[in-house]
Amino acid sequence: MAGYVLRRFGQAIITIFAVSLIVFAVLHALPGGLVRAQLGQKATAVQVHSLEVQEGLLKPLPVQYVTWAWNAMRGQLGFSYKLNESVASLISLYVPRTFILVLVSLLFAIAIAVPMGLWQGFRRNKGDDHALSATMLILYSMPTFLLGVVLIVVLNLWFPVFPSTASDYGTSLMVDARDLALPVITLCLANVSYFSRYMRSAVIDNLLEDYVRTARSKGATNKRILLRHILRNSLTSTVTLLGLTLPYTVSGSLIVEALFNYPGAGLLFWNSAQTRDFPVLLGVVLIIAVLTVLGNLVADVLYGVIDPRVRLR
Amino acid sequence: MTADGAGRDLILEVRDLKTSIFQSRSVVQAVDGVSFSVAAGETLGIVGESGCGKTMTALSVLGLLPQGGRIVGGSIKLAGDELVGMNREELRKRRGATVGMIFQDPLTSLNPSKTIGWQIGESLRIHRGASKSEQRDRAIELLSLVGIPRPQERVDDFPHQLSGGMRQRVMIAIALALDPKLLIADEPTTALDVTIQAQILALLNDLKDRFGMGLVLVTHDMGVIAGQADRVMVMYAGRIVEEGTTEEIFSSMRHPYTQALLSSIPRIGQDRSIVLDSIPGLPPDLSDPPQGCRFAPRCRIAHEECHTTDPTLEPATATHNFACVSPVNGPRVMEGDRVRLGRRSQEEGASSPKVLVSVRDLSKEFTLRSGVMQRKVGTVHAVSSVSFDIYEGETFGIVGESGCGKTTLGRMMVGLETPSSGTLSFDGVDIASLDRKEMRRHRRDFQLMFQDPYASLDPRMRIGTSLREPLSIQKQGSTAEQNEVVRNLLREVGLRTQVIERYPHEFSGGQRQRVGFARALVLGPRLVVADEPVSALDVSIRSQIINLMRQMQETHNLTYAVISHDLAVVAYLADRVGVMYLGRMIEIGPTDVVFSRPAHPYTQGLLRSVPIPDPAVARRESKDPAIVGELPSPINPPSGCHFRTRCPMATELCAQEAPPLKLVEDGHQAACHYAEEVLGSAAFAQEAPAPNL
Repeated sequence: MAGYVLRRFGQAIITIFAVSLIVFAVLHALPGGLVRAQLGQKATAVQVHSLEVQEGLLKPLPVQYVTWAWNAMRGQLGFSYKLNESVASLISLYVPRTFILVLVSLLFAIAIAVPMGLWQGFRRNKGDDHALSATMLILYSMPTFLLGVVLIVVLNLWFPVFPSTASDYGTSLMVDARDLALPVITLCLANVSYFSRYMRSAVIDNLLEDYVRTARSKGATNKRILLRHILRNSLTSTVTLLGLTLPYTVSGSLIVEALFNYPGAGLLFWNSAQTRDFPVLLGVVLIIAVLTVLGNLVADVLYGVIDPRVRLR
Repeated sequence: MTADGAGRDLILEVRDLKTSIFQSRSVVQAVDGVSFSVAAGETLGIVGESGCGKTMTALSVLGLLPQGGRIVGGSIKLAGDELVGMNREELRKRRGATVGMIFQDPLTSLNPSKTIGWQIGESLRIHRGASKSEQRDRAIELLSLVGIPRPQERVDDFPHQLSGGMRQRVMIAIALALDPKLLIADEPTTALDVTIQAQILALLNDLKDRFGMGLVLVTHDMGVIAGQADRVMVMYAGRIVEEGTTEEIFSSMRHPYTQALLSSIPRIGQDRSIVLDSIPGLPPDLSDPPQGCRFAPRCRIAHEECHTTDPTLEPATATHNFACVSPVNGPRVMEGDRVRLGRRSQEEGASSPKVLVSVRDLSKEFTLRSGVMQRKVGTVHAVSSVSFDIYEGETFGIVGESGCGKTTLGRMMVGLETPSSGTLSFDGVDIASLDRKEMRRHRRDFQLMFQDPYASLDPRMRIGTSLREPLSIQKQGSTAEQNEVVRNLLREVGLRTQVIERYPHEFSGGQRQRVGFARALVLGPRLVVADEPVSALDVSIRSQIINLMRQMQETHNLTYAVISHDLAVVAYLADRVGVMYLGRMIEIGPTDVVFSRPAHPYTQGLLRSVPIPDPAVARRESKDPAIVGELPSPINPPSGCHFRTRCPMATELCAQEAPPLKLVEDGHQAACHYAEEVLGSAAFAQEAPAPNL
């Protein structure tokens, strides 16, 4: 098991290195360079030159990369002249909020999708299975922003249960948990439809396996077969899916945060994109990439925990 | 509970069982009026081809029928209690407790994510609410009962950590967990190698005697039945066509189906020039069974009455019943139809035959890699230093258990795998030295015939297109000419030419193997390497393909290399045979010589493990398995002679020095330090000449 985790970890490091190279390259491929992006079109040649010297931009690129990577590792990701704050402090303020949003929505999605898929697989092609499948298909085919708007209409305008816009967060991590409700539900429903579909087909496949027949021949009850035999073997494919959907969920959070005005990394990214605030944009990309890679690492390790055959590989 | 004639308690009594499978458009009458009983300590064998209802009969007893399956009539009494109509909960409580079941494939039949100890203990948890430690103790006890060494250590293993034979022992332990009165084994050894099969059968028999269980043994293998069963029930198309003691079924059968089943299987030591009996056609569709006797359309001796009168079971003796209006009397003596044998054996003594394939010191190694850096962690010597010749016009057999390297050797012979070292020459040309273009031109001379014709045909390509493809790749003739070649070949292998428009899934297994054979012949090869050509087929179809291969060898002047784990098939087809063990060729010689006077202890043990379809012989042989233990890992094979770990004669010398192949008599080579003694001991004499009974 240790070897397996170590190998996966090594692969994660390599991926993060590749991502950092790409981010660094984009940073230097900006039209007019990093300095122009910061100082604007009207800056004089003297101003540009002095900033270039100050930022060490005249040194060879590999040296610059090492300096940049070293700073990034220490949490120094540059400075946002637009917001007049360091990128690191902006990220440390906004990213944890997105982290909460994504984590909570994923946990809910799994908590709903796994039992639902298990039930649907067991009740395959019966009335309740068809009804659930149809509902999930509608949710699945609905774009996130439309789903968000529908939820606002239903849960805010018709039945004012949850707020449609987040409060003013200032520098706090969370102000009101109710602010999270609609963004979480929106992100979660999209994933539930996806996960439960997979879970359902995994359960159907597993029910036809010979080992289920063996369990029946031992006199196992349906409940026992589902919970003790099928569940774990069906989870493997769903867990892989979890790692794969992580990037989509994170990019989905961009739309959701903009829609509900929730001050997370998505909203920060959205606003920075509009003001062409490149240091912030790239800082967010780097951090999200690292978190996604780590998320996948966790999924891989979980996969190993569930399936003993993987551990030995 | 009632008792049988011998005063033993009847554990299972089935009367007029009818089981149907309800599908969306039709109803398959899988079991149609079957009655039988099993007494304590008795083994009942159920035989028949696939789809004859033997598995459905077994599953009906446990209420484990597949989706849509339902018992529609009759009675099943288990230890005196009526199961038909019993509520589900009551029935569930009997599964695993009163009846245990063993399935065919021990790998898929075990849950991959639970330890074997957990899976064995589960029955105790379900039926007795046993605690974790009680479950574990019992699991260890059962593991040692079924002969798994060091059960304390193995109890926490997962199924994938065990070999096939060990897994089947675990399955047996699961079935025995609660001392059931009845054990149902559905093809328990079909997925296993012959030496392991012998071990598992011996174990089952021993456990049955020790615990006085009733055993229902479902199998298609007449050899297994002959050695194990007390009574036999022959099923065809959902019905019993004949039943009786094993002696009666094998030596004085009355039903033509039973007779044909037995005379269509090749035996070691039989006259190879006699054509095997075969049953034409296919079993009927049970959603619309034919009028009259269901076997009549395929019966050799059916007459008008057979197609109109539905025969019922009639007694031949007190224990023997059959359902036939024109019964036969005992086994069929096959004679008359003879085939010319491979040219070599015919011209023996004449001019020395021409060598077509010459293999010298041929090796194939696969490197195992692991880790981030893909470090080399080991080498599998799939084939190591193998040398032999195949003469033009003969059939060379290659036998051995799974993992012995026979398939890799076959793939190298047709250029699908590049040798790591050594030479392989075909008609004097070194195959390995050819460049791509020359290789493509040479490929037409040697073709491969696969085990599973379904998997080896493109499912979205019409048969005609699939068969024509090799010709267009080799740019031979116009499309019209190519089609003509294909049509002629289809006729020769016994298919109608209209089938060129069909897709692979529209064919039955036997027809598909005919297509696969035609595909191998389409380029007019000189050598056909047939890898397990009949292993996936039913007994009756098997003999059709074997006969066809013989016939085509004669008309097309073919040389065959037949690779199989089935010694009887190789014994019947091959003129000469090579026996492989862990990548090495350990014995080569004329088939009849090697199989009657083996000079290597492995060949000897292998031959003794083959179940012989003759109860008289099977009973006489000792029940102890001839070869003990498991196949060693090919990554770390034993030093010296690879077989020494399982060999009864092994000495210090065997561990130090690998014996080379040496000539023990004319044309007969063996790789054993004590080959002369093995040969001289005559410890093994094929006691079953059984010339077609």
